[in-house]
Amino acid sequence: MDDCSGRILWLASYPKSGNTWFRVFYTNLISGQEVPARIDELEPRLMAGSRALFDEYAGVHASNLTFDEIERIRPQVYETLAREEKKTIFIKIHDAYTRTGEGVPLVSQRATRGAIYFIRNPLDVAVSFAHHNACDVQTMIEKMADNQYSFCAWPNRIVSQLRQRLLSWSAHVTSWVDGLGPDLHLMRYEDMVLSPVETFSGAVRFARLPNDPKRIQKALAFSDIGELQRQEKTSGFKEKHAKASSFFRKGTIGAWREVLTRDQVKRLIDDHRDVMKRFGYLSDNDEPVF
Amino acid sequence: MKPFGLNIHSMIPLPGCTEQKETPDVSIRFGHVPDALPGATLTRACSQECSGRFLLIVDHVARYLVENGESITIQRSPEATDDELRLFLMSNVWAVLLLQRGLLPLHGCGIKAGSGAVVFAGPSGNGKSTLAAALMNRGFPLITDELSAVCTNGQPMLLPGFPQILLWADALKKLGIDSRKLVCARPALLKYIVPAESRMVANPVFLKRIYILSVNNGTDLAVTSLKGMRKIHALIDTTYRSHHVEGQDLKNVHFKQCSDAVKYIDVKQVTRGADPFDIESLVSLIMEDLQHG
Repeated sequence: MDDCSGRILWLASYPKSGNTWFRVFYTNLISGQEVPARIDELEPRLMAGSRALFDEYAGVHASNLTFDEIERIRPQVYETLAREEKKTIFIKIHDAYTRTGEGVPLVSQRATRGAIYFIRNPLDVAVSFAHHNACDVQTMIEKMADNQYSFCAWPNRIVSQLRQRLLSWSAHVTSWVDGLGPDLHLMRYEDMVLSPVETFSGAVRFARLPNDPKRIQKALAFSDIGELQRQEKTSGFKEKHAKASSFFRKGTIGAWREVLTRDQVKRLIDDHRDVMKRFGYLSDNDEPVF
Repeated sequence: MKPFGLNIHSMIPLPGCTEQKETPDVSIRFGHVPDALPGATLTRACSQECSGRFLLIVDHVARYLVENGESITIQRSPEATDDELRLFLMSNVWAVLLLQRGLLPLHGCGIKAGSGAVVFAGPSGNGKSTLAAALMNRGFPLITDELSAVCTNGQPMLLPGFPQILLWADALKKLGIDSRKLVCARPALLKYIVPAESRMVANPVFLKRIYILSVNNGTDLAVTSLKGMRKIHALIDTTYRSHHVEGQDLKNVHFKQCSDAVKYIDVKQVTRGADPFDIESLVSLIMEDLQHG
């Protein structure tokens, strides 16, 4: 039963924090093709919250189980998957680093090799997440402060994803960074934008991916926001929320300055002050850095 | 009626099963079930299996052991209700039993349209049962819910399953069915058992078409016919938890079943937007396609 050890590398983040952008880069890096990879064929394809993944590796249908029962089985699902794959596998995950009712980490410790954790200024996350969910920014700000916030937690219907507990934005960040410990590689969205070669190369080394500067440069060029927008405009993007007008929107830093009211900025800072300061998003005198 | 054409002798009452005097094809009894299957060749988080044997463990419900397509032993947990025991028995457990008996189990619901059977297949959450129930309300007889057993000796025949359909609260609401008189499949789930005995076919029906239901983030509804190898792969992919095929050491048999069956049946892909799930438009599309396609 131990042959699943250390196989999974999680691509973990609160939504709208650079995870998909990294997957575009990763897909282009490993493909090594001379044309940009198609955004509807991104790697890794495995999503931790996928109902189909659970049904395949649990041996029992999630639709016959309660949310808590599903969570209790999820660590074993990832171990089963890791045991069968026999190599490092990358899995995207939006769940916070939580524990099951028995105190077992949702992302099985035994199956985990490590995680790349993507973090982004919560002021920008609020704007981008609101656009993604086609809701108003104030609603998103409330959700980002809610320690009970989950995706797909509907008891009365079945959807393609399992319940995923996100917690608040601050709790999501600290759950991963403090929960997983030294096997975690942190990537700030702002560093990905401002120093892409250095930042993406750091992740390449951590993940033991092909560390070839030319390949990295090319993969970065193919991951440019303009290229992603062009593809989405031409052929759509299957990971876009049904109600959102687009997925790849701006990809910039500081868009919050044009959208958030003074009260909304104050509310976000009040809700997330400690974590924002810890990761360089807020100066000592409470001024936003980006 | 005989669900799946089987004489079933069961210590737990099953819908549609009456006491049979004939020698049973399948015996279901309560007894000791081990917590591991020695010699298992395929393991999942809750199950272990090898050729002819399958063990399923559902904490706080039961352990189930299926052997050679003929016997199922259940060791129940004290807190489990009969409905809970039946829920897992009639889904994952039954699918393996059917495989062991040489049938092709598809993850889908079947209705009778004209003289032939139509199966709506696809992953959980894509609207198979909701669509079947909506068509049942329009007078199409139900053949099976969730698990479609196809006999592939010659022209493929779809066997009548258990006379009920499971629907989530949201689906009941969409279909205008009052949930207050219905029983939940498990006390903690808003998933209801809708009895369908009076609206079931009694005998196998030849399978003429499979619709694979898929969901995307758009809003358009579309039907596309699949051809050649894509038909075979669609059947392989919609086999009820296809890993059991490997676990039961039936890969070659299964491929032959799928490739033989597609000679007789149309396979079509139906794509719809995820949100909102417009059941009325989907029903209209299917009815039109059945009439003209």
